[in-house]
Amino acid sequence: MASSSSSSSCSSSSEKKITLKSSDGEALNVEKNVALEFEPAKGFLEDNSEEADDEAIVVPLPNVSAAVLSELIPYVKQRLELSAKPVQKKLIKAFDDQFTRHLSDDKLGELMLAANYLGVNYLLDVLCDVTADRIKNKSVEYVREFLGIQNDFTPEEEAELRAQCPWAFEGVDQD
Amino acid sequence: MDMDSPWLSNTNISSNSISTVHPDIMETHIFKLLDASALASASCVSSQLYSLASDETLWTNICNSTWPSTDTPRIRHVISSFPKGPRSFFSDSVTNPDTISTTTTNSSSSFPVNPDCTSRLISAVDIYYQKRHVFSKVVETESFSNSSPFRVELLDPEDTVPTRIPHPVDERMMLELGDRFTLSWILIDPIRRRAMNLSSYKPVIVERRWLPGEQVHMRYGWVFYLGLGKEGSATEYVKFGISVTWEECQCGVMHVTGVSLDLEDMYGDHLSGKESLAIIQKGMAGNRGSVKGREEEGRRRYEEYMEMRRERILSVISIKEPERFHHSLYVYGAFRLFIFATLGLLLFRRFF
Repeated sequence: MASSSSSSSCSSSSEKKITLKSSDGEALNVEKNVALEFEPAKGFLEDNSEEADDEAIVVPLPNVSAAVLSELIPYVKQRLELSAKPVQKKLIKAFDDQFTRHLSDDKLGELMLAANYLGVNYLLDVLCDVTADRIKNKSVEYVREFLGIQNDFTPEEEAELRAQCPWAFEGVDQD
Repeated sequence: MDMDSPWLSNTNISSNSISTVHPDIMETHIFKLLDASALASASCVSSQLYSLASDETLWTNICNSTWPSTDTPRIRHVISSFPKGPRSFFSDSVTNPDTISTTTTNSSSSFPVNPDCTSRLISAVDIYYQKRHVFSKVVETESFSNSSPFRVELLDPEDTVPTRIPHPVDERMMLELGDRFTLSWILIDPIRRRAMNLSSYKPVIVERRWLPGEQVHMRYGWVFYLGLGKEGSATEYVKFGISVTWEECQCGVMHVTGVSLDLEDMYGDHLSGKESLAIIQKGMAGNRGSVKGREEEGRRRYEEYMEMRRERILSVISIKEPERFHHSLYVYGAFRLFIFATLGLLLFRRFF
């Protein structure tokens, strides 16, 4: 069946399907080359390489929910297709921008956790860039809400810290 | 709410291996992308972020990329002795002295202003052209004499530092130079572990000089109010003057041939080393100005100072020596009359 396919350069692996099991117990079918982008899945597949039938393998990913996985998988798939072609970096950047532009702050955090756990470094870098951009020139209160972190300073402690760097708050955007 | 945060929570992840990773991403991936303001701001969010954002490497990198001159063994050593290391150093060095602090007496009692003891100052200077770094130099000053004026020269008279900046060929290019060059002059007191910036960042004056050879001369500086109790005195305001001299070389680019710092009082007189040291120590311990708009502030202060200085000098002349002043005007008028008469006579004889 691989010989008949001419549309994809990596047809032999892309057409094989692997099942990923999310933290909430859902099973998702993905192409093997996509699954190989995830470090834990890659390790699992290498450990179970004697298994003849890939279709029978179920890779448990206990740290990633089905909702996050179903966002990640199309991204990784398209990103793989893009990087297989001799395309310009600009195109990849545009694709990344489009992917991250509409992400909510919470989703950004979840994806970052997942990208880190799954070892998808190119996505992690993109998400970190976006996060840094989103908290630049913002007030302390904004960053606190953005990250969902409770303030554990007393008002006096916080005032003292702020007084040490008054220049940091001069160019802050309106929240 | 805290527990639901996907960012720094340690509880919503089923596997314990990942629980410590996220603060790690914060520090190693995100914080290194932040500028100084965002990083300082993040440190006020919570105690956990404070400890992550106080990492010395992050602040050292910010210091070194802002001022490449700080990336030298001597300065690195001095920075590490600052109360909070590179973070305090950045906060000090990014700001200019504003007014003397009312608590100056307290801080100077722990470190008395005593120029006789082993006082020293380090100058760390960087020049940028269109935001690209083109020059840096570190110089240590140790002697502050009572008789000779305070002056820091970064280069020896025969030294030149080559750059690839094109020499201005017309007036339009000259005007543009003022917008393209920025300069930072950090003065560091390694004993009291304080620093401050003395530059207006953008030049307050750019001028061309023809002797000796063609030069472009730029002046930066910072006017510092010593104020209260000093009204009308010669040191009510003082001006830190920074001058940079560029010379054209044959290949059409400019070389730096001189960078210096001095301190002048309200009459434009240079202050001695000892007087300057006392003023510098007050400036270090005093209040700081804001970073935003410091270029405009630097220029505004400079212009105000020059105006005040002009008025002071004129008032001294008219109060102390009104007759001699008027006399000199008569002499000047008579001299001009003589020149015009001679020229007229020459022309007359030539054509008739």
